[in-house]
Amino acid sequence: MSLIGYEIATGIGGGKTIVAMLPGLTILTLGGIIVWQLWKKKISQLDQKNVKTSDKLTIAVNRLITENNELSKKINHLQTKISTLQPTTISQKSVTLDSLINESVKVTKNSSKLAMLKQIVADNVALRTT
Amino acid sequence: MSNTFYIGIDLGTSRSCLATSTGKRISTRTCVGYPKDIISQKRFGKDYLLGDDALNNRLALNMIWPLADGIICEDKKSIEATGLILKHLIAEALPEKQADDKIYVAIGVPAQASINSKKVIIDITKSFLDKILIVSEAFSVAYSIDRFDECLIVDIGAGTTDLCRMHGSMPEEEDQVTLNFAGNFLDNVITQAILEKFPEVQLTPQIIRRIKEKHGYVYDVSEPVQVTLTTQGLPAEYDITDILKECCLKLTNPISQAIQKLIATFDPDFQKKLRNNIIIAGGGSRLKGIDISIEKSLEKYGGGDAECIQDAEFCGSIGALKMCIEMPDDYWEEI
Repeated sequence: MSLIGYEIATGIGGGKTIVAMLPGLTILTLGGIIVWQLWKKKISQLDQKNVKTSDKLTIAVNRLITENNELSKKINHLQTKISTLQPTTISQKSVTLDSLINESVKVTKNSSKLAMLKQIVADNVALRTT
Repeated sequence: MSNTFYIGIDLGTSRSCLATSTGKRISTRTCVGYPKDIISQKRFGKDYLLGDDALNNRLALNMIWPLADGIICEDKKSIEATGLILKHLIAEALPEKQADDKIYVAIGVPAQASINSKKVIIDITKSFLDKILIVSEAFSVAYSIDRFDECLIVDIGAGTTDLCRMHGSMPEEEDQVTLNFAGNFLDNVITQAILEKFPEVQLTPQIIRRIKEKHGYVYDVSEPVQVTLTTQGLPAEYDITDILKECCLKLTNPISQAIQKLIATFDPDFQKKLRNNIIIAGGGSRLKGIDISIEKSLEKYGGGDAECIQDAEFCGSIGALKMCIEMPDDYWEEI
């Protein structure tokens, strides 16, 4: 058995032991206080940062709400304008199915065909003048 | 914005066919029926019926076939009927046409139709068409299949058979022949022949047409042709195998002779090519074995090759439409 163990066991050196551990405990307590203070400061800084970010977001949201309101007003204004214009200036021309599927002209580039078509036209012109 | 629609029309004796630039294909009987009396007028509720509608109600109508001989008959009623047919065909083909839209049309007529009959067509259509082009039917067929090199077009219609010799340029008058041996001629011959052998049977032009279209042939051999005809209301089977062949040969023989004549008068260096490029079109091309029969008739000249066109009904109108679509604008302006 060691000397300290012996002293504790026997109760002889109890006071001595507490006195010997006191400076260590003091240092430990002070260290804890310092760490706590530093931690508290850091948390407070983070809080401030969050508040700033939150303020910025609030401003941005408010800006968007304002912009949305302005755009809604503009849309309403334009819709009113169209409804007043439609009956007077926009004519509704119906697009027929025939016109959509109508085959476009494919003028021939074949010279012999063109010559034959020219001859047909000439014959038809002569037919009308005869 | 206005549209320009193009139409090709084959104005035929029996059927008129139309093809449009909107992809429509319409075919109708070239006939108009006017109510016989006040009762029939009340029944139909119209001043006239057209095409198959008229034919199906013919017992109560005075039928007008305005192109009975291949060209427009020049009496007032026929001219009016032709106008009605064309107007209704076009209205049916372009139902959504707006007032400012334009219609440019090419109409196929027999190769040797008179100037007067061509002028009649122009006169009756100018009120509802913007531009009208009159073209040869046989040339329209050649145009539809892009055959302008040495070939011979044989367009067997109901009123006329048109032959057209192509040689890479516009066919001249001597390159074209119009025969009156066509579908209607064959109908008459078949009617006479059947009545000669079976004088009691009841025949109508529609019965004869059905027999011809279903059984007409010019082969050497054929399955027996048995048709059901009535005698005083009693139906019975009649064998007309030999009658039908003899009659059909009466149509194909003059056509073969006309083919031989057109070949014989062609440049000798190109006669063989012409013989080997015979194209048969029109309703008559449906006669079974007509291509073989024509080839046989050319054996003594060194043989030949004839083929029947696939789309016999619409090839003329499609050719006319193709001409319209391929025609430059400034050419149209000249008309």
